[in-house]
Amino acid sequence: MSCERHKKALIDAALSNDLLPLDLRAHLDSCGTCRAALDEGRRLLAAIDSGLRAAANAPVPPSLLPAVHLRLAQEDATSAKCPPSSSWMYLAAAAALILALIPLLRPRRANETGAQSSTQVAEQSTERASVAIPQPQPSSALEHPVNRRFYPQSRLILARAAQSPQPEVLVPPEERVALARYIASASQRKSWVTVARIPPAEPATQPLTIEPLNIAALNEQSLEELDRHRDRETQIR
Amino acid sequence: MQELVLVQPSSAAEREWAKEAATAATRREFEERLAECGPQAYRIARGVLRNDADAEDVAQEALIRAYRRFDQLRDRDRFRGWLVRISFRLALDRVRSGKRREQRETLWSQTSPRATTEDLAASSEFQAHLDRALEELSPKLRLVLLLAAMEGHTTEEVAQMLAIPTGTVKSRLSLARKQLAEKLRCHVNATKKP
Repeated sequence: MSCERHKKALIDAALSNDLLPLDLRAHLDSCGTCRAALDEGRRLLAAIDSGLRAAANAPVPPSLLPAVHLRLAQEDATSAKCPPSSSWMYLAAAAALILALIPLLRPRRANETGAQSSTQVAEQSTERASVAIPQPQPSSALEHPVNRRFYPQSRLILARAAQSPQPEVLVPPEERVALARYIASASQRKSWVTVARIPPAEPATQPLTIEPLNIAALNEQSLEELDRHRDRETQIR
Repeated sequence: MQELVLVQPSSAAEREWAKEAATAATRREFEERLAECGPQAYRIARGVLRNDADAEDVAQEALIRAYRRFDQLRDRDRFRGWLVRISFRLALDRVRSGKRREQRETLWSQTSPRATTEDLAASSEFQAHLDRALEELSPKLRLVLLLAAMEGHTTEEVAQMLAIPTGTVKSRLSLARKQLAEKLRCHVNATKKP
């Protein structure tokens, strides 16, 4: 009965290395079973601590950090190709697209032939912009931009482009990142920096000068004189 | 027919440069911490999973997740505790998936009599029982127990890592050890009976 009373105190005593309470010490002096139980409990906890330390300090496999470095590089490459975007970004992009399309749909219906004139504007602007592009062009869109079809929203974009001091080019959407990377790499080469950043000076236009024409004076003859002249020739023959 | 978009190469390139520079800076900072805290992510996972291959998988995943969200961590001094919690949660998820539960159950049911506790710590059987008892602890208790056993962390260090009071760490440690002792004592007593 006395042992049952001290059972909880024995567990607490085994858990801590503090001094034992007086009544427990007195009981342990007289009870060999509880003394043995306390020793067993302390050994058990020592074994638990030892097992925990062994498990918690396991040697780290040498392949862990190199594998993580590799995956980090892959992660960076993936995020460069497809920048991380959350759902709100998709929503914002969709909303912007809808807002951009609403005013553009109406004039397109009203004047289908307007697309032709916008194409001409696009061609002119593309020619202007392509002057500032480094010569080894990475995109097929830059090689024959004139042959591309332009959508009505191009008019807005081109109008904005005309006001912008930066050179701009037309590229397919999926080639934008590639173009940016190409420009980044091209600009690191000194010879190309000049080409990319300093557009070639336009040739000075001189006023058109037209030389005066030297036109010989007409030899005017009356019809009567011509008739007489014809008659003379006839008589001679 | 192909749709074209108008871009400014120079401004796009500048954005690209800025983005790449920011990525490189983040990567450098992360890698500095990786060398210091990477092993801890593994050990936490190993402490939960008791399996080297699984622990390596989980540690890798934890480190990659930490890298993805590294920008969201405002106080970088809390990186260690943050990484520990990520690794611990992932390891718990892996355990809960139950892929290797059957194997552990089999190991648990294989009991052989042991006369004393002296050689318990060295025995694989005791380790298996300890694993099982650990698994039955609540996650809070288990994490504190593992961190305290790891690399000789003091209770203050554990408290700092987990951002909880030192007293809470002490009480959780005491409770966890008590529960483990009770679980394992029953087993030892049972195996000692003839």
